[in-house]
Amino acid sequence: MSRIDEEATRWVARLSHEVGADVRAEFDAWHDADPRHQGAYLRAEAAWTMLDRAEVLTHGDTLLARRALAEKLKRHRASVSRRYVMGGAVAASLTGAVAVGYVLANRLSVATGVGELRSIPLKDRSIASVNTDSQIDVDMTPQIRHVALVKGEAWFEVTKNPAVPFVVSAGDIRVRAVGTAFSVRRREGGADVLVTEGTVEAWNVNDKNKRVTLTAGHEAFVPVKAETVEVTYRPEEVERRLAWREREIVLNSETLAEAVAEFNRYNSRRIVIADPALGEQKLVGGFHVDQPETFARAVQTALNVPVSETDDRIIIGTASASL
Amino acid sequence: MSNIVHTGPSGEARKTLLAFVGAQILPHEADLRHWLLRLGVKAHELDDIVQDVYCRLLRLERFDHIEDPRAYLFRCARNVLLEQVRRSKVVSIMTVQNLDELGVADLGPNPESAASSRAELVRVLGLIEGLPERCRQVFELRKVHGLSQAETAKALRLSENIVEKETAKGLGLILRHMADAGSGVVTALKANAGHKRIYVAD
Repeated sequence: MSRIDEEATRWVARLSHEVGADVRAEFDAWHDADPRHQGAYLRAEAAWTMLDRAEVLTHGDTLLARRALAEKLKRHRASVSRRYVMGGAVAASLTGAVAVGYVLANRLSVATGVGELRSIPLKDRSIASVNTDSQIDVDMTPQIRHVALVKGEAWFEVTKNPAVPFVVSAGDIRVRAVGTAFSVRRREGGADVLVTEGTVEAWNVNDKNKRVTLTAGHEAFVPVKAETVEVTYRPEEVERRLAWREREIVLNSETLAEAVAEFNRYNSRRIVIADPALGEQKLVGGFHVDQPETFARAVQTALNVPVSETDDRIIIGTASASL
Repeated sequence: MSNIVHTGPSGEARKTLLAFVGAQILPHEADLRHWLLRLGVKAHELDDIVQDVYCRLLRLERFDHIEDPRAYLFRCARNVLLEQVRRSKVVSIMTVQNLDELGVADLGPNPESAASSRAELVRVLGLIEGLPERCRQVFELRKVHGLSQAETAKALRLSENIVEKETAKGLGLILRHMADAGSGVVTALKANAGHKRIYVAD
């Protein structure tokens, strides 16, 4: 709670009984000093007044009060468990169509189209979340759990089983986990590895001795060419770049050009920047991956630039669609 | 800081305002805070924005034109945000998106707010019941039984000063609880956060 909120509750308590003119004057001075004081005081006083309803509704009967409460707790528990079931049902309906036939399969291949996101439970109860325009090939054997990232990006939540390593390959890049959560994204010249939980090892098959270890909050770009891999600890950045799991794109001082490239991964309707100088503008914000129109309108307002739309394109930086 | 002081209405008008805020605005504050966080508002900025929102309510002269207080609250917060963004040098585009998200995620009818007096009773009592023991006793006497501070002090054999301190402390806890306790959906999301995240809200 902020200092101002604390002061406000103290004032409500102090004024909840008769006070002298000096206290009243002190209060007025505090109250009028800052609009935030006024807001905080209104909020605290409203809560205090709202509690008077307890007397009105129970007619001062504490027994009635207790009974009502016991009932509430019962219902609360019921509603919580119901919600969990509902949550599960949603998850199942998202993945079910793809997953049901495959859950028990040792081998499976999952491909997503542009804008599609799939979460697939694997045979070992690990979960693979496959991002837009991506493909994974899964091969489960008693000795190794192997996933080939054929293209794109996927996040893995791996069940613990030290006896059977979980290895993701992205071309020549390998990422190995025991029980952990991490993502791999194939890029030109290598792969990004982001770790959200536990520990993973990443290496290039051409240079097996140079392995890097990443723990939660770390990220690395593992290049195809045998070079030194730089591992950095940036937990907020890791979370930001995994916002796609919730179908969101989060920008934290990324350039407009980078943001547009990100939106274009998810949508067939491309965003185009007409004026290259605009591409360097840095932005902060959060969006749904499948709402490039909303993003473009936000850019229009934030940067005060024209935006025009055609059937298959959204053009930032020019008013006419005649490009 | 504003040069114009909005001390708001007094007397009966203040009572009406307090009743409106307590019944129609406070119950949505947790959702509002959650929504602001999702938009990228930093935790330390949250209290400032919320205080600013409440301050705006002081300028209201009447409430009967507000058909949907929840929507009104979110719009109000959105305006506060927009003004902040315009004042700041960083180009932030989180706010414009609100328009769209407002319609979908947060402004739909909130079934749990259907305020039967029974639901209201349970909510109010739940707040008191959740307090630490001595705080709870003070609030029960003052709010369920309607005793004054002096009478409460006498009944609990405490000094008036202590009762006042407990009152401030309890009110602070209740406000914090109201600020944190999200809708059921939000709670389920939080509970799941450590595991697989399931997006139910949208």
